[in-house]
Amino acid sequence: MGATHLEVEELTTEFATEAGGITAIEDVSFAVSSGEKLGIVGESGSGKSVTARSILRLLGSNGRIRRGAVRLDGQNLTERSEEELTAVRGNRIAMVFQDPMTSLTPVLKVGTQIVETIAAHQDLSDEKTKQRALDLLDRVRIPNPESVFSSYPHELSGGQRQRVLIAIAISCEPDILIADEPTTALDVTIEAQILDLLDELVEQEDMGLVLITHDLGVVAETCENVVVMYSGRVVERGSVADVFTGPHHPYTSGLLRSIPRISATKPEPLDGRVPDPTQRPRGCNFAPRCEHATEECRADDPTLEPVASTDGSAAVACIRSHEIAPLSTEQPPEAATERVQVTDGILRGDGLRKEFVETSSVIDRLLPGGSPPVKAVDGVDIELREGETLGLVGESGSGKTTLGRLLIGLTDRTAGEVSFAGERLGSLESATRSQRMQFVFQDPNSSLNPRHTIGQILGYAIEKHGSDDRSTAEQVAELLHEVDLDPNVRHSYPHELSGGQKQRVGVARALSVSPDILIADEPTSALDVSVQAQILALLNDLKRERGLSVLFISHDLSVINLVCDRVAVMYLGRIVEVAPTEELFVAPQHPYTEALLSAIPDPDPTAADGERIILEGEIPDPREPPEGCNFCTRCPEVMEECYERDPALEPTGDGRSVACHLYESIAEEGRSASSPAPDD
Amino acid sequence: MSHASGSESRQPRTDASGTPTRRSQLTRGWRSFRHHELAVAGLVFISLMFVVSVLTVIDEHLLGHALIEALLHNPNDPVGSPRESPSLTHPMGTDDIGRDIFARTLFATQVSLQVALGAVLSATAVGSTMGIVAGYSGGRVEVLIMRFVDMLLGFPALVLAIGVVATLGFELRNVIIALAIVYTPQFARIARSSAISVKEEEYIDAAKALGYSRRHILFKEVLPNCVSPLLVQASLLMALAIIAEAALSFLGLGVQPPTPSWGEMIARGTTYLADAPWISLFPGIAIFFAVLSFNLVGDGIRDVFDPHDDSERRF
Amino acid sequence: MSGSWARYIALRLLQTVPVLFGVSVIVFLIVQLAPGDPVVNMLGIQATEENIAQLRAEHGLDQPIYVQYVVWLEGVLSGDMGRSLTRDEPVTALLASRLPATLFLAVSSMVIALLIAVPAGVLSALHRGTSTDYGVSVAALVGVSLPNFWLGLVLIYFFAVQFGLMPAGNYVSPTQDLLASLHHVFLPALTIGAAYAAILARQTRSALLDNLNEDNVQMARAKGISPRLVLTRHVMKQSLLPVLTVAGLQFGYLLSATVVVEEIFAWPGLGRLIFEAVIQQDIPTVQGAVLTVAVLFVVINLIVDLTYSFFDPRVSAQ
Repeated sequence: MGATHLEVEELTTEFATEAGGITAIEDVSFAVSSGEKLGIVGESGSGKSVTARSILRLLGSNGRIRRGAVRLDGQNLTERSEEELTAVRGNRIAMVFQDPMTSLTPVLKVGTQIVETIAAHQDLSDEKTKQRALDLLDRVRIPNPESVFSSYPHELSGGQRQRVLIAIAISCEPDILIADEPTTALDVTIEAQILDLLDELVEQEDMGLVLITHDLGVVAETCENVVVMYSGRVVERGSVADVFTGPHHPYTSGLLRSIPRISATKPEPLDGRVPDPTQRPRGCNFAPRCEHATEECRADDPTLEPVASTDGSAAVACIRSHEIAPLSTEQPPEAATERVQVTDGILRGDGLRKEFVETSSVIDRLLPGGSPPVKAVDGVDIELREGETLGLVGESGSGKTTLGRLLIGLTDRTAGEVSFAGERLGSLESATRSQRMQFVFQDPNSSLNPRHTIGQILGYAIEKHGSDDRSTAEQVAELLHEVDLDPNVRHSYPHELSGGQKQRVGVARALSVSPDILIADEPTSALDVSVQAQILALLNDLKRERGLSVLFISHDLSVINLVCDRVAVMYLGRIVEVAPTEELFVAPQHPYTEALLSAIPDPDPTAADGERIILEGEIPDPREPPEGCNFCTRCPEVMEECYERDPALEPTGDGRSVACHLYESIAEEGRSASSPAPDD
Repeated sequence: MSHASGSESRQPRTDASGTPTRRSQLTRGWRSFRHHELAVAGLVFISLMFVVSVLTVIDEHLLGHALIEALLHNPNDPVGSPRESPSLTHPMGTDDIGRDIFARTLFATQVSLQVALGAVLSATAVGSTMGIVAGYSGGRVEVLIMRFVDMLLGFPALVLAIGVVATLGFELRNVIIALAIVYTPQFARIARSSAISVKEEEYIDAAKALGYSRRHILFKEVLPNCVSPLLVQASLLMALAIIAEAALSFLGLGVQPPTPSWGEMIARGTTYLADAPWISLFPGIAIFFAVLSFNLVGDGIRDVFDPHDDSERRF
Repeated sequence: MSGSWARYIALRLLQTVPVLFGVSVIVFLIVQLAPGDPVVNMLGIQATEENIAQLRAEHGLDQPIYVQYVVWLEGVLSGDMGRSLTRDEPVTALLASRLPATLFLAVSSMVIALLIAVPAGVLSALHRGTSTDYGVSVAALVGVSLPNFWLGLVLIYFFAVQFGLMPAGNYVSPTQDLLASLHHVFLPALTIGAAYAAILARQTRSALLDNLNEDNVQMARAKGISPRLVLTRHVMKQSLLPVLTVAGLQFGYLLSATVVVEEIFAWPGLGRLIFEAVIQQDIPTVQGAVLTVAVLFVVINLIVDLTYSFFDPRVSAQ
């Protein structure tokens, strides 16, 4: 394709640990050239990050490449000395790391960190180097290069920091750019900006891009070719168009079938778990989970064999592939009757506000200056109806988590009221409240007390709220059964369980009090893609069986689409739109909802490539929200009055509401039609 | 590294009804500790000191020194000529009035051990409670407690101890009290920052959402997760307490003669440093080993709870 | 950044005031609670009631305790801490004459400690797992476990008594004769500095180890900068900050150590003064000296905090 060619051949890397040597990746092979965009996709434990670091040999003192080659234009990098590699790093092959906050040294200014990269590889005068750095910042679309140049990393937003990382990476015009999960830590609308930027840069600079991610949608939208990794090995590679529509490996097809999508389909959960690196099966690593596995599969690790394709690069590691391929990526269509439409409200929030003050120190408040309070929730009216699942969606700073916590009372309200079945929350006894509403938490590593066994965790809850007619041990076993966990798990400690298992325990704990309402705060965001589907299916089943009303908080619209009957969209502390799920996705009204939907990467490469809306700018600081509509700084349809007045959330018919001046006339019509003006 | 090994690999012990015995986590911790040979050596030496202390206390109060006289010599009576150099009869020599140093060294063990355990255990109990309550409650309670702690921390340790002992009187009990006062704020600080970070964990929120009582949350949810840094600090402070007690006795501000104390013995020998250095030497060695043991144990505990990949494998 | 940093300084200064206040209260109370009547001690058993009462009134010891405190505090703030009961000197003058010796000793100890500890800690971290690392760790462990006064005696025995290399203390002012003063301060500074160095070396090592594997260091290496630059620019500055904090906190240890070490080495400093004054029940001197040491410590901590915030821009940008 282009001038430079990077070829990875049977790369095998291992690490020395107390538990002995661990082979992180084995026999990994692929190639990428200038101008080409290759995605490496896999879940946790797949070894995709190790692969990237092995290319540049950034393995730490306890890692080494056991065999294989990394050829850059024919030269094998694995045989080069550390000195020679230093000349390659940042210069011919550059890397963008995952977490922009920890990747930049906090005590050094941003400018310094860009300049030193240039100075390491090029011989320019100080002035010229600085100028080049400023140009780079401009190139990555940072609005005030001068100011950012003299800032410290913690003074920038996540999106800005990621751009800085990209600027550093392209500073010496590398031939190959490796981006390791460059957008995972970012909001969806910012992610769209960054992916767009990467696209543009790759074309303009004629670089080769290796994009590492767990997000299949990102790969489908950005890359031409893809490498799928599972448990340290490559299981399939080929063009995105081929692999994503007709995969040859059962894992790829299983993965594609299990991810939530925007289209009206229902994901098929992939059973089982990624094996622990120290306990990989003798044969094919995927065999324990594979519906096509035979005895032969379990005998030995399958090698990558070429498969017929348009450009000859396709390959698959599956001995049965020719028998079973091409595999399906279809998900069963969702039954239309699944959506619940109810009208009785069970939980209400009126005029809810929450302001966080940074510090409570008396002296700190007396001194002038200091930061203004963060308006996390800025005037929200919300209603959860009995028997429904209401989705609450938004990016960072939207206040969705805070709103959930306000409703259950974990966070104190600054203003407003919460009512349960008509009764105000303040007046309900704490015991009653904790029996009627429960919370499912996001981080499985933090939601369970590490010093208690599962039995104890559930036991305390049952002792407090459970029924008296059965023993605690019995009730614990029942709950575990209900969330599809082996009852023996109750003897284990949380660190002995996987993320998915821990999350199930969290759900079990919430159900132990037999609540009417469940508030789930990003219950699947910290889990692997294939496990997410399992948990979502579980939640759906439980909701039906127990007749729960659920408030489902998430940033992921495809998950919302799957689970929710109605959706409320939040931006910067306010609700901007509420609508039944179908209609929100098919015909969004608020400009922010539109942009949010269009920013979601679609894993279906054949999907119509509609006009992608890419929002400019950053999410405003919640300490200083804009005058007027909070979205006015980024809205593609902004009008003059948007800067002056905050729009209220008004019904626009069919159970929908929008907070936007564009719809004010419709709302007015609705109002004057349904009720006469009170003062006439 | 995912701990996805499931419950198959490590089955904790259970009792008849199937609920796991509390010892499971402790036995795991112990098994890990066992691998640190140095730490175990420290523990052995501490046990030895403990045995010696018990024996000397029994011997002194119940047996009238019969045991030590049978084995060696009476520690309080001059049994040899003054300033005899170490020999077979007197393995550590005799002091300025002819008392056997080895016997005195043994008898001084109980003083150090009592101070170390007494001062540190009280400081841990009081300080940790203060710190956890402060850290968890926040607001005015926290400010009040921590300001008080800051005031105490404004004093260098020994200076404050001297002040307290000077006020209360120069005896063993007051040395323990003084050091307890000095060390309490340190535990309060550590417990507070531990409690603050534990407070942020989601399982605390879960406990609140489930309506658990404040007592349950503080003692069953927060406290167990604050224990490890406190445990490490306790053993390290026991080491420091021994040195502090010795310093106070050295200055004459601690336990008073004729009770033997390592610090006091060293002080005696300063005048004879040139001719009879062993008078000061051996008690100092005893202090060194006692302190070293507590430090080793403390390091061992720290490694168990917060393993740093110290002995990293290399190819 | 300067705006918020100025605010941070103001904040910290204001927060220190109540602490200093509390310290003064504690100092005052501790001494007042001591049993025994210094006036009686001074006059002897023969003293008559009248003499006692007269002397009491002279020293203002017959007033209620909070009045005594306020009077004392006022005096302290205006530079008058009373007169020593045993030395017949104003306490302030006494303190002023002793302070330089202690400061000199403390600073020398710190310098020796840093010169040993930081390179040792860095080397040990960079060569983790090798015999260098092991050696430093052992030395640090030993250093922390040695009682300092005993170490002082051992050093005196070997260097002064046996080999006559160094004098056993006795302060010589650096302004008088720099070389001689360094010669005299070496042993006591080494005595105090040994344990200090041990603590700092361990701290340096673990801070460095924590940072060497951090993401930002990986990133720096990925940029292709020379390993030396990665170390100095990306690792050291960040690692040395926590060491700085510990150094400040452990300064209290230095001050504590001076009490005993000054006694051994016949060093005319504040520590020795505290000890002597306590023995002699010279209350005003004890109060003044302890207060001075405590204030010094609080101020050092404040300076350490501010220096830390200067180097770590995240702290002030709350």
